[in-house]
Amino acid sequence: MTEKIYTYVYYGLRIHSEISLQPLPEIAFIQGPDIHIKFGKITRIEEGLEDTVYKPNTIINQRIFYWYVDDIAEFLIVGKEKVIINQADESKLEDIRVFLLDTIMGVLFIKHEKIILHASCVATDTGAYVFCSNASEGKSTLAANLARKGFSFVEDNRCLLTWNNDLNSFSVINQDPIASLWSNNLAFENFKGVDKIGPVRKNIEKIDYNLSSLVPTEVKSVKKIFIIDMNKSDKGFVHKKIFGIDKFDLLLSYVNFNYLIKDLGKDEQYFKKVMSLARAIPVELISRSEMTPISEFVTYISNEIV
Amino acid sequence: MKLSDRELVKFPGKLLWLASYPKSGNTWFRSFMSALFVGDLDINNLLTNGLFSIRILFDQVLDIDSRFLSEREVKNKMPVVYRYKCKNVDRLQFVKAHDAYVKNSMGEPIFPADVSYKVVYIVRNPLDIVGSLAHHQGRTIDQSIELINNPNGYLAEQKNGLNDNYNLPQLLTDWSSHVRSWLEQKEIEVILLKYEDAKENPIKVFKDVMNALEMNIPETLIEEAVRMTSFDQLKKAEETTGFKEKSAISPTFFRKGISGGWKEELTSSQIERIIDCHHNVMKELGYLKDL
Repeated sequence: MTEKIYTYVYYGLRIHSEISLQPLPEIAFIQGPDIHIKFGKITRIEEGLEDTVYKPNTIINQRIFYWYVDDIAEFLIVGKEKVIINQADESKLEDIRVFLLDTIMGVLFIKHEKIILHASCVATDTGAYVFCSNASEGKSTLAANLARKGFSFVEDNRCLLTWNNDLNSFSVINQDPIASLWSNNLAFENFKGVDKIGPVRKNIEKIDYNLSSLVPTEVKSVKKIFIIDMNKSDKGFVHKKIFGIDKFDLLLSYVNFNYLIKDLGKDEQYFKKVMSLARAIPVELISRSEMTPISEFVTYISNEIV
Repeated sequence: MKLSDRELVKFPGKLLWLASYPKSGNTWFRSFMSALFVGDLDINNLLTNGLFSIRILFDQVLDIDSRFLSEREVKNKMPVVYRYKCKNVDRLQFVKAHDAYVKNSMGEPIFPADVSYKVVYIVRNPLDIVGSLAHHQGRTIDQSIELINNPNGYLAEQKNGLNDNYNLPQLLTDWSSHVRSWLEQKEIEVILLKYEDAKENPIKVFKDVMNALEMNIPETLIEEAVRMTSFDQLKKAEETTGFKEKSAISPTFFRKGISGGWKEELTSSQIERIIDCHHNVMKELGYLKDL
């Protein structure tokens, strides 16, 4: 019996998958896929391989990336196009999907040398603004609240930047129409055009929203990258432009799964790519007090980008 | 040879836990250890290898976003993370911990004994903790009393399934259970450091701790490190450079640094609520003598 094959385009990669990645929308494509995702048994990886990093749940070298999540699944990436999933007994496909889209796709993005920043993004008629931050420092909340103020919502968590010859600049377009917000963040509740899907995993109060009908469909030139973080002062903002090696270092630090780049043998490629990004786009750091209300922060940012 | 090279390399691949209930003097002791082994003090760069429940370590060791995991799933992997942290490390590492010594759902202690050297458990009179905790967390003293009396008390806990703090949620239990969890476990050798004794005679107490750690430290170096980390020096350092461990909600991290401040801060009813809950452990530790 032939398994159903689902087809997706995710951050520019064409995927044939035996596992449904719903709620990602299925997209048909003509050319062959970049990535095949299949279920199957995974042969035990030898110990003591050269140039290989052995971590508690991961084995990494330039050819393979083996990883498991307890009670969910084992994953094996071979080369840059083949993914094998060995599902644990009684695990749920929804759980496999969460970890596949996060870590496994994150590794594949590096293998395919994508510049994907850990960032949200909004756009105006004239261009896009990218907001890099560490987890929990408000990038999704910021973008969602800017959408409420009338800006176009482009990305929630990972932002793919590609060079666009027509625009003569780095550009963005939505790659993942599913945004995930913690349940206390109501920015997308009752928002016109947004469908609430539900928690990403059982008992994890991060809620998926489908923004397919909301995100802009045209490519946008990236005007500026903001690094946003929080500080321990009692109020206000620190806002400064970043130049030189600091700019390069900061941008590299926000590349998705940047700490795996070296183990995957891609440091040279990323050095060049991030350097070209740093040359092309202005970067500014905005640090806000943990005490600053999000509404004040949203107003501050919206004044910066209009 | 540098002191750190000589003494810390005696225990390669091992962890020294610096454990305490919050606001019990852990930062003071960590500052002392930093001053001792570095010979200088930068309060924003203490010689401690992070906090036990720091999220980024967990995520990068396991290549996973722990925000997608339940607390049970996280606790089950904590020993694995720390065993990995010790691999190929040529010296003793210090790790601060506020978690109670508990077991995960697999029945394994979350602090792995096989890579642990010892634990310095710092204990402080709970009557003094509550004022300091209230200041640090921007809470009232009554709310701090509720926390130290709560058998299911947490640090960095988020309600309703939220799980995106910088640090992983840390189960404290109530103050007495926290103390007992560490002092009564048999897996890791405990060195008990009483905050009040250290305030009274820091050189002797810290020297005793270093001896118990089997570290050969000249007394002059201990005296110098104690001088560098006196409360006034720490407060001055915070005024000059700020302190990244301060919460945004409180004006300063270092507040009074005294023992016995509760006599001016607490009402008789507040004192009663604390003693009712912690009478036995307070008595065992000599905290009821002044009453």
